[in-house]
Amino acid sequence: MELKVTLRDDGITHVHLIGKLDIEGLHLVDTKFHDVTAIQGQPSLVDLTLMDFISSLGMGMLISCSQSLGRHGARMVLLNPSTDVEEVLRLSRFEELMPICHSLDDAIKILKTPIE
Amino acid sequence: MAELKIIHGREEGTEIELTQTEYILGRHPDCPIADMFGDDALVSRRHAKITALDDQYIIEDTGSRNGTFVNGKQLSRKTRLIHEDRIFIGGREFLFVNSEATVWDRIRNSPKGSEEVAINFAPDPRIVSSVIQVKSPSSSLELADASPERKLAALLQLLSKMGLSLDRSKILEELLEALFEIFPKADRGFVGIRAGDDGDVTPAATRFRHSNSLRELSLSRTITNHVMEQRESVLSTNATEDERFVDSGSVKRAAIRSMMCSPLIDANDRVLGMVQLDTTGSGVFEENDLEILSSIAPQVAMALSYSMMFDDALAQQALQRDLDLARRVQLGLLPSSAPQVASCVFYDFYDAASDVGGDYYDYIPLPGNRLAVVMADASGKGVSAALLMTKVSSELKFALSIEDDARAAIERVNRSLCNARLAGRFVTMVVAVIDLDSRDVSVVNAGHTDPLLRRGDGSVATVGDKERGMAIGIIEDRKYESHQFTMEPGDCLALFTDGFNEAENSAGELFGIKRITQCLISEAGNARRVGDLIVQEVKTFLKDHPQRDDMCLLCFSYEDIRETEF
Repeated sequence: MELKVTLRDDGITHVHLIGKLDIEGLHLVDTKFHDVTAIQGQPSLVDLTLMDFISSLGMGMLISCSQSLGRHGARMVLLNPSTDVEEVLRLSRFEELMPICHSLDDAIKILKTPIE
Repeated sequence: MAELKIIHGREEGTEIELTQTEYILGRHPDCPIADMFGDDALVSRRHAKITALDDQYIIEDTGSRNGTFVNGKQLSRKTRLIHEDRIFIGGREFLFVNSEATVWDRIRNSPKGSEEVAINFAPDPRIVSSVIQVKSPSSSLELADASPERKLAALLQLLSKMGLSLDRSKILEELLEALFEIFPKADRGFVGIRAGDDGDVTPAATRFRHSNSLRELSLSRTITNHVMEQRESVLSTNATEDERFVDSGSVKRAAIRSMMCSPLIDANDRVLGMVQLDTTGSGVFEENDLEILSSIAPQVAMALSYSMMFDDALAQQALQRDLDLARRVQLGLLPSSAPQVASCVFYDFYDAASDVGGDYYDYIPLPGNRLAVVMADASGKGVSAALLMTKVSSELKFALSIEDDARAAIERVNRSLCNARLAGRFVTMVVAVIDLDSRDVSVVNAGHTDPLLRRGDGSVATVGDKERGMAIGIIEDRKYESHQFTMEPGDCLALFTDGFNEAENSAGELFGIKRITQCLISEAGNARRVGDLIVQEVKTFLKDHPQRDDMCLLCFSYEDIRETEF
């Protein structure tokens, strides 16, 4: 599991999660992911294009950070998950908390929309 | 030559050479300084006696009325005088000076004879810090430098003890005791143990020769790093001026004069820690001292290694006992048998991926001849997931007992779980309430894999996917909806956790919903046969590939009474 971070000029944190977000993968990225999203408190675009698998604990990490961001008045949007990953995310209705997009423009638009 | 020097009281500054083998101190005429005490009413006629024995001087009170004091402590038995001891007799204070016995120049007996030395480090919790007794100096401080025979004897004794104990504290205590015997010039000694393979070195045992040694001992990172990384023993005859330790603040603070240090390397070439001896007085270690220490170190490392393995084994056993108990507690949450209801067949299967699992199922009888069939999956695995599920199961039973329907019950459990603030932890859950009279079924799904319903005509469809809500434990005020349908004879409802559909074989292929659906289609709606087939198929699919997640399956079929198997 690998995590790459890009700080965009528009203040959005673009995070790439690459590989399997299983228990082992979670241990590798959990703290850093939390640091760059929840702690920074900036709108966060989580790119799942290269994520092969997400475990329930991995979903827990996304939820936890998304909720922290929400308390800062910022959003988290998930970008371009694979069919399998998207299926498990939608199964538990997590898209209500973290919108799922397949277009960067759509994701940016949501991230820039103020939270009511 | 030893002498007594009056440093307080009348005739202050007077020096009395102790040239004879026995001196009576008092007003008796036999006393060479009787005149000096002549008018001191506090001094008895035969107050005290000093006996010279080789290079040692022994003082004893000879039944004086007002007592003899050495370093403020009243004598109750014969006591060896040490250079610079202060003797109080009557109104005078004498200083005992023994310029010849250099070994005693720097060695001071503890005035308390024996005291505990607490090590005030913040130790790694995995490291046992010993509190070592500073022993009375009677045995180990007799020689300035132990004879080769004595060193050999102490060495052999140490090595024989090393194999007898698995108690790390005891091993280290005996090690330092023996090292102080072998190296009488050592003032301080300690053993540092590394936490893990790359962790910091923290003191595990410390020993001080003198009561007035600096107690706030700190490991010199400079020395530690050198010994641990270079894996070589170090000798410094003058540590404060040694350029290798020029930046070491702790060497200067502790006023280390000479030091030697050896790594503790076990048979697997792991550096377990280090042992260090240093002097703060005039004693200086030599090359042959280091050779002895270096030869002892591997034996100590081996004993430590066995001790650590033993500790690990004990910890593993304790952990396994805890896990066994946790598994029994968790399995105790699951029903011991399926309900016996006319025209209904229930099948359940549960297999945890590890010692304890986070899946849960239950049959909960409800008023009005209803039965709640529950399946849930806590995020994560192992003990944490099992603990979460323990909370959920008890909350759900309570909620179902006081709420009118499953929807309200799940909302209550969700609120409770959200209030517990288990960041990132959630539970997926599906509850099917079956009216056993009307066969009406109400399904509420909180983020769980959709149940599958096989109808009598062989068709299979998901149940309540539109009404499925979010997993519980995330949004406190989330509302849930229920899906209603009626079971007909020949129908079979299957609830399962993702351990089934996400079972992955060695080729990385998932078992999938389709295979479960196929099992439902191929069997004629009997819950037992369907359940057995699904379990058999997934096991065949996995072959020897390890199960990745907990697996829980529950099937319920409603059969025409004429077709029911008895």
